[in-house]
Amino acid sequence: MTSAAVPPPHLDAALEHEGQRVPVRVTTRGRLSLAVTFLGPATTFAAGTVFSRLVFERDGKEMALSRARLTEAPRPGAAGVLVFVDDVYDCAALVDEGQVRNLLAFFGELPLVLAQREQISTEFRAFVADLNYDLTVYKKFFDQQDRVFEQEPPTVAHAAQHALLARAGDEFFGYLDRMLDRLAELVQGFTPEQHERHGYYFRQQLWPFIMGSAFMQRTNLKPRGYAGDAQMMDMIYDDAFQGRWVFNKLMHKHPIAHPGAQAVRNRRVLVPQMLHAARVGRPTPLRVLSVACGPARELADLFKAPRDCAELSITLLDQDDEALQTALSTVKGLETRLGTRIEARVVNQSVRTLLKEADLAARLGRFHFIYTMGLFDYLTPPVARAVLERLYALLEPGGLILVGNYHVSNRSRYYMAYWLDWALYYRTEDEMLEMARRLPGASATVSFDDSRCQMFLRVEKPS
Amino acid sequence: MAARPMTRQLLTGRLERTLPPDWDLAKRVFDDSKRFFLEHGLDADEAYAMAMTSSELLENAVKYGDWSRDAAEQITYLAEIEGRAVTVEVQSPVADDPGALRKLDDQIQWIRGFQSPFEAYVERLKLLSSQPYREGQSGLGLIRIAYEARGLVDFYVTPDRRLAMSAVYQPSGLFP
Repeated sequence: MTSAAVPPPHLDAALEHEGQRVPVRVTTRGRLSLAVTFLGPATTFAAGTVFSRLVFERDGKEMALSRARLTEAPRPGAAGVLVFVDDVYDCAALVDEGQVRNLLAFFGELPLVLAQREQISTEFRAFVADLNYDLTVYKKFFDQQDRVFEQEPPTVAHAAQHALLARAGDEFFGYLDRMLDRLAELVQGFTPEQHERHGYYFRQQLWPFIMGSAFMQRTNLKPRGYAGDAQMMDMIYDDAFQGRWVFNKLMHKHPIAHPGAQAVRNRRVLVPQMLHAARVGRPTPLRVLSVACGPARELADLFKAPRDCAELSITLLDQDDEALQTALSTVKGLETRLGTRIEARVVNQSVRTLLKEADLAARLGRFHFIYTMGLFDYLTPPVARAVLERLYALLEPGGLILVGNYHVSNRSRYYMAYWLDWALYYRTEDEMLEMARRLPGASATVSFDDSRCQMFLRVEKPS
Repeated sequence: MAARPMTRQLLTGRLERTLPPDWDLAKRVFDDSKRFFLEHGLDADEAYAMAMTSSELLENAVKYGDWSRDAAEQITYLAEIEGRAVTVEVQSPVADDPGALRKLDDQIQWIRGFQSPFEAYVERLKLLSSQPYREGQSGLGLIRIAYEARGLVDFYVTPDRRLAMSAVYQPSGLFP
């Protein structure tokens, strides 16, 4: 059996030259250039020829691209090369999809972005300038030391870097803490639009430093489409230096050492403690639901002994398949360590769409203990109420729901908003209790973790 | 924009309407909702922004609602002021299309992922300006709510398959 070679995708078009249309066939040469073959009889153009337009037909409409130059003339057996003079078109999209994407088109919108700086307060500008200067000085110093260390054998370099982190790390962290205090002073009392505008300005100015931190890079770029993904959570749990150079290590470590991140580590311990306390006197197996489970690192404290595996079953729900895979590998690791099977299942769905299920209990089951950390911080009141109401309906009589939410006075609030581009829906104690007020028969209380950043709404269903 | 007082009190209240899905709906509700917001303590700019938000959500409900399901289906509109939150919620029938709902979910989370909705607006503009325009697919409507009205957009789907789309505004000066 033989197979014919598949010709590369092409586009039949015409190049306009001195009022004449010259038929051509173009294929992709690179993202920004085209390979061109002239279809007319004995058509020759020298390298450097500029064509006024490239035109082609798409869905019955004529499309026109701006001036193009022949940078290489066609030779026998080889197509010519065409690049655009006034615009930068995505040639792959043009040939493969017939779509015109001008990569320079956004240039016209830049005044909108530039105008953002007009309403930035003088004090804030000065603050950002000082911060920029100081961070540049620190970075230069740390980079110089790294260049020296790099000349040494790895063990020596490692020891030297370790010494530098120990010697200068605390001082640098102290500097960052003072600047965060200053930031809080400056922005306290801002309206929502002032926060947004100043936050945007801040990140534009400090972008290179932000990108120097593995953690801040991830919170800002949000590769999974949302803040707080499983890898970000893992970075917080690991609470370690990350990066090759001293400056990068420090810029990564500082935000994950801050109280807001400590609250994440605290809740990882607190939730299993609360669950173990709630187990006492209840029938087994105790059915547990973790909503927006993320990497579910707390499972290590939930399933500590074979007895826990026999007495607990867990359902892990998350919108992100990657997070569920991480959670499942945690389960597998625990099963290996404890030498027994854990009754665990995963459900890959977002809570917002999960609520459409008329019989949610038939889909998920009923539970004695439901907990959700790092979800309600993203839900506005109408959605949060609807979610809590449906979760409450899944509770067995005497069951318990635990909902985490950052408090309005979170000490890392401005750090998260301005540096990390991580916006949360903060609540007060009253607002947490208000969510539970409409649940039939529920008794609700609110408590805090040691950092006082994180609140826990505890909702009990009567037996 | 006039400076807002450092502390102020909003009046708790609700405005509810059940409405047929016609194209004039957004225009008719605009004035009613603006009046409601003004009477409950929002200033003129805020009331205008929330009325604009109401119109945008109502227009989306008329445009994307699953009106083939049942001729008796209507749109429900709620404007509510409670505590620190000013909420507009619009409910309309929605087709059971997991792919479309997932796309909406992703879009909402993407918009909400920016501390400054202006950044979402800019990023969307960048994308749109490098692509051919497709009617009704700009995705700028929800971003405008976030950017121009400072509304936190969110949604859920009810068990009777209605899309509850909302925007929450937290005025300044109410912060505890």
